Amino acid sequence: MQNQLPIPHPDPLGVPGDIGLILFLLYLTFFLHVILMNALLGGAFMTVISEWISRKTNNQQTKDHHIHLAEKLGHILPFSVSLTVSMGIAPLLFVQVIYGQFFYTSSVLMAWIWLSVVFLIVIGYYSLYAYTRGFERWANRRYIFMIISCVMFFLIAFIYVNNLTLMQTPQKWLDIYTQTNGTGYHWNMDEATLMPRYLHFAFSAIAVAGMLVLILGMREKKDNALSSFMKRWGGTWFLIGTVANTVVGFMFYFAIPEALRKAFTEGTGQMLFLSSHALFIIGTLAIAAVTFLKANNMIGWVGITAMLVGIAEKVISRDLLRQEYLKQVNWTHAVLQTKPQNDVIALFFISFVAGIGLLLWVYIRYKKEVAAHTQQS
Amino acid sequence: MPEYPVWNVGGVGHGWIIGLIAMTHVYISHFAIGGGLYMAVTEALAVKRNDQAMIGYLRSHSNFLLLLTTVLGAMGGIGIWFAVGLVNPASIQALIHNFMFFWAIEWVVFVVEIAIAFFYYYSWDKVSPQFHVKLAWLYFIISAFSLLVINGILTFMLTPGKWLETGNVWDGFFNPSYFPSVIVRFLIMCTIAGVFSIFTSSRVKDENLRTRLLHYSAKWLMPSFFLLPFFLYWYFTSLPADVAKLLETGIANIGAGNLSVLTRVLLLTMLLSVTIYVIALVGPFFNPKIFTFGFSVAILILGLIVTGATESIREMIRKPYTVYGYLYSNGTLKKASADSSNYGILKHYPWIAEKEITPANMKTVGQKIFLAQCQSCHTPTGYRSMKDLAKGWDREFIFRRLTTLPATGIMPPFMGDEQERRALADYIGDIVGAGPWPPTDSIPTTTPAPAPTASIKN
Repeated sequence: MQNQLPIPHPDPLGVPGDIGLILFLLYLTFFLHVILMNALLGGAFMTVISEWISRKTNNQQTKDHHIHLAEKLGHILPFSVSLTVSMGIAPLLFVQVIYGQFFYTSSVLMAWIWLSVVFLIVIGYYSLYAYTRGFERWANRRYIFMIISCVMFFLIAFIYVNNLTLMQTPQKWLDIYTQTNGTGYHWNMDEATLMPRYLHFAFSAIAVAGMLVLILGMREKKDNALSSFMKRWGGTWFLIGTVANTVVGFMFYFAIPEALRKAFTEGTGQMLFLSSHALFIIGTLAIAAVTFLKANNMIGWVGITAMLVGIAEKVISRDLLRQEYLKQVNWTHAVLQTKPQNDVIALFFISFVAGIGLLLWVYIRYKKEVAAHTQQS
Repeated sequence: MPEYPVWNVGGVGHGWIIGLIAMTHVYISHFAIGGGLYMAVTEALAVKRNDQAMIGYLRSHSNFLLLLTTVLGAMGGIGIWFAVGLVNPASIQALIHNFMFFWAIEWVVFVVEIAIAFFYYYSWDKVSPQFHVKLAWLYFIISAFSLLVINGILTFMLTPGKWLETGNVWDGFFNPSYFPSVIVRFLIMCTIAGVFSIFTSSRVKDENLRTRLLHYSAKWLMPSFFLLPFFLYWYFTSLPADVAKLLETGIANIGAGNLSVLTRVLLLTMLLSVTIYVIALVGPFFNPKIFTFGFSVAILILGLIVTGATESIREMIRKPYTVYGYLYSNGTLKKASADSSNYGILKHYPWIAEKEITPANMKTVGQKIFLAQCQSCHTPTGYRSMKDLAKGWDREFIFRRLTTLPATGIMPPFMGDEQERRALADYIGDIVGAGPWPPTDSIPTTTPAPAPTASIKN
């Protein structure tokens, strides 16, 4: 079947490392990316909500709490963009090494839309800085910047989902290319899984941002009222996101062609599917206990850990599903030729460890310096 | 034979899409590194002299550096990656497969660089001045590392050297132009650091400080003014013989008034570079008091144009390849083009639905063949247009000309069979308004057209 479809051949230079190793790196870096991206996306959304409430409410304490939260998130979000982008580079690199023949093709079919991602991030990023830097100066209008950022980031996520669904359905490519004459304006809107998949990400973002606010609340030691507000508010949004995601998750599952659902019902896929949902149930209950029953922070940390491990499992499930899609066109990892460059791989791991070590050293020195400087002044 | 669909961008041209993003990114990313050195050296001096006014300026300059490099600079780099993946997937695929773990190392360096930039900027007044200076040096060293890594991949594209025979990634990385290129780029970085600091200095309100800063920043242009010609010469001697010939031909023809685009861009680059040095010398260096913000904007824009021009020279002298001697700019492997069994576009290229040419579909197929084989460098009526390049040619001449493209020294072979050549010639003939075909039996099929000399005409 593959021969009849316009699927380019894998690069003749081969894959310069073991496929298992590259998949591991793909999962690891995509996990980090997806957590940061969710925190950014959901964080921008929650900041907009806090801005809105702080303008509508007549209760001074509620107003103060929401302004405080908006300011806090506003400070965190520019770093989140930088980290999300940085952590997005690595999985995009590993995806291109393994699935390049699919990824480049689908990207070309929606070229202008795909390229616009770069400009949308720049707009969203500068808009965030405008929000943070102008928090006092543009107090009355700063929410506009956050709305712009929020729209940009949700739009980027939508474009990504379009491309990543299109890349795994080569059956549609030739018709699209012929119909559009290669002009690169194609959205993958006729894909049945597109909207549930996108909403799955969007609600995950809200849930993860809820966890972020919950963490901010658990770490707030000076102001008890603010701490309990952030725990309650963060936990509530986590639960809203999670409940919505349960509904959307079912929609997503049933939108996937039946033959491909074995990514979740057989072998490793089944194990991951069941254990990740068990972890989500534990995590949700623990966070609900902190939110509504004022349970100990330790319970909250257990819940957050369970959710993160569950998300890590979902990252693997996501790739297993992609593999099922590609099996439909007779493609498996076995078609890839490997030519390991062991010395460069070793150099990569050395630089990886050295990079983490250097950042840790800078962080520790920075903390000490700040403490010494504060004492002096 | 390329295997990817081609992004049909009409008259814009693939070159401009990459070019516009690349010139912005290269300019800012060079500033990111040169600016790091500028911050480290200048802050160390200011701390040593306890020059609080200078430290105040550096704080605001670092804000500018952070906002420009971590957002527009970083996203520009990703933009080039996206854009090359769209206009030339085969190239980016080859570069990523060959250098995957070098890219991964570059990613590690990039993440550390960005993190230290944040530590640096957000620790003003929170840590001791000595530690702050250390952070500046650390930022510069890490960012310089990112140059050392990416330079191996960039220079590989023009001078893959022994890699072509050995296939060894280290041969490709430490290729013939690696070292001269590193030094040339380093000198340019210092210049760009000077240009940007002249720009921010000219906004300083305190006249005494502004005058000092302008004079000081102008000095950052001097190393490249004196040293760049020598290292550029070294760089050019490391290039493949064909490239050197291409450059020499262009330069030798200046006297005859026959200026190729390459020569014109080269001259423009030299003239604008000298203009920047002259303005910097006459203005901020000798007469900082009369130097205005407007002039600094002019230098900044000239710097951007020079960056764009030098990058386009790099792209032009690489023609017809994206990886010299390995991969043609339209995605065809050189090795594949030597095998006659790979010829026949409709047979091998899956993105053209028509599998045979008929009088009814000839023009449509001709346009699709143009997209597949030519659009990586040409457009019908826009950038490097066939309308201009094939002006005055008749269909028969175009038909014959398509057999001799490699003789130009700057074009890949046409991978189609005779019928496909005819369809393409028909399409181009329509673009230039050529008359009808002569009777079919009078069209020679093997006679080559006279081979033109190697030059980039447009």
